Parts: sequence; C-alpha cells; structure tokens
Amino acid sequence: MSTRERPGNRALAAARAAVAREYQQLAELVATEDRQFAHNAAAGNAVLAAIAASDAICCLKLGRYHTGEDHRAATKLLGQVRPDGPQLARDLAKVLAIKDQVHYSGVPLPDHRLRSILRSTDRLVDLAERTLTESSNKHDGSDT
Amino acid sequence: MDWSEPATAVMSAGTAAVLRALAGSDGSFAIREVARLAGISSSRAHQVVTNLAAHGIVIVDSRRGSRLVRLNDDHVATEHAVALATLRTRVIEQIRKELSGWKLPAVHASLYGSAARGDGSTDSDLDILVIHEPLSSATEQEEWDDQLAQSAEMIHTWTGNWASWFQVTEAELSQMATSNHSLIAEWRRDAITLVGPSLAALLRKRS
Repeated sequence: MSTRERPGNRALAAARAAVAREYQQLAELVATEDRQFAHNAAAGNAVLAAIAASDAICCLKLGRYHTGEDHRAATKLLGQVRPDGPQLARDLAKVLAIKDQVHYSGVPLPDHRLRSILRSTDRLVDLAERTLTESSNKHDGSDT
Repeated sequence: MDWSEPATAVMSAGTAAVLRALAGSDGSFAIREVARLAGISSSRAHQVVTNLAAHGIVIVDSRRGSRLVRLNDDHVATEHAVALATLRTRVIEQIRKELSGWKLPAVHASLYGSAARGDGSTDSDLDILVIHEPLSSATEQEEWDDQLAQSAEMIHTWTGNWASWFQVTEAELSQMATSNHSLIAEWRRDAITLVGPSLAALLRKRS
C-alpha cells in the first residue's frame, strides 16, 4: 500500500457510493439548465461523483482507496480492479481531464463534452452501487 | 520529470547545459564561449569542463595559450550523457509523435504553461492545448475522450507528469480571442506547437 492510500471497508464504500449518487444527480439536474456556465457546474459535480464512486469501488474490490490531493493518481489504483480496471480507470481519467478547464478557464463547457463526461460518471456510479449490492448479498449469505 | 531541467535527475543543471552546448556543434570552443552557449558563468563552465575532462567526456586542447573544449564523441558515456541532457527536447518530440498518431486528428496541439516555459517541476502538469474539429456524435466524442485519456496515460508513464488538456474547437478559440481571454496571450507567448499549424497562424486565419 502506498503512502497515498488508506484501508477502506464496506461502511466507507457505502458512504462514498451514496455521496457519488448525490453528486451525480446534482450534475444531471444542473445539466438541464441553460445558463452559460451551468454545464461547468454540472461537470464539477460529475468530477466529485466519479471520484467518490472510484473510492467506493476501490474499497470494495481492493480494500483500500486513494487519499492524495491529485486524484489522477487514483486512476492507477482503480486500474488494478479486476476484471474491468483499465476501462474504469479510463472513465475516471476522462472525467478528471475536464476538471481544470471547467473550474478555472472561464470558458463554457459545450453540451457534447458534458454528455460524454456524464456517461463515464454514470458507469462509475452504477458500478459502485452494483458492487455494493453484490457485497451486501455475499455478506448476508455468509451470516445465514 | 523536473521540467525546468529534466537531466537533474542524474546530473547538475550546469553539466547538462554544457553538454547541450557542446553537442550542438562539431567544433571546439573556448571556455568563455561554452559559458555563453550554455547560459552559465565562466567560472561555472570552467568547473564543469574540468570535471567532464577528468572523466574523459570532453577533451581540452591547450595550444598557443588558449584552451579549446570539445566533446569526446568516442567516449562510451558521451552518447548517454548527451541523451540525458537533451531529455526535454526528446520528450517533447515523443509527445509530438503520440499526438500525431491520433485516429481522430487534432487541428492543432501545443504545449503551454510551465513545461513550455521550462520552469516546471516534478509536480507540474503538462498543459496541452488541443484544437479540434466539432465532434459529430456521442460515439465520436467518446472516442475522442478515449484517445486523450490513453495519451495522458502514456505521457504519465514516460515522464511521471500528468497531462492537463485544454480542448476547444476553432470556433471556441475564436470566441476566446474575441473576448480577449487571458489564456490567448499566454498561448501566443509560450506555446510550443506539437501538431498542425502554429497557434499564431490559426489566430491569423480567423482575423
């Protein structure tokens, strides 16, 4: 485990997955607004959703998550998840790639780019929830 | 990679500067000339040359009262030392090749920010401006995002630095220029073209 990773259990994963869904829903909501910079705010929420979902997946699949300030390093950890790590890492990388531009540039984010980010975010959040449910079923099964 | 002087991972900045200066020509130079070409003081150049000469990487000819310095191309370490000293240029060339190979080509790509100015550090992002044609469908947008993510991964593997993309279409670039966005001035000043025509040429085209 690197110094930028911490152990993460199922309880943390559940919390991160729930937070991920909240941010994702906020992103979808803001994305429907037609104000000039609404898409930037939507993308900002999508970034937070994707990071939270990645943390949840890493906790559930690897038992640890990334804690450094630069979340792009988290793509390396997410890439270790089997079997879909490389694709998941690619989705997280795509979402994070937009972060600086939407936050700091003062340039409105076009609709097609936001949609692509939201699709990647959806895949990560959906997988976080699915993995959590599967883990819950296994947990229940082991109790009986 | 430390973008202010990548070679400092294994040699001093002064040594790297002297090696670059000498590697740029087949001739011999006086110490003062080496210092000028390397952008360092004469005393520092003398110090570096003395050290490199002790290792046999440079040859110092002392004739008629002058000391002329040249690279010893036959030394087994010279090729590797020069390769390290010119790392920044070679990495930029490697990024250029990576971006030129995109399935969905960029109209223009350039390096800007601290890496382009040469004052970055090991923590610096490689800021890359990408100007592209409008993407016609959701699938094309996903393909585009995929290729950027893939290239960012490669760049990180090569350098240890993350690529930070700034993506705009030509129309969006035009809007930024019209609104006198501060990044336009920065791009005009620092951008190193990686793909396509220079930014100056693109901006001239729109005016």
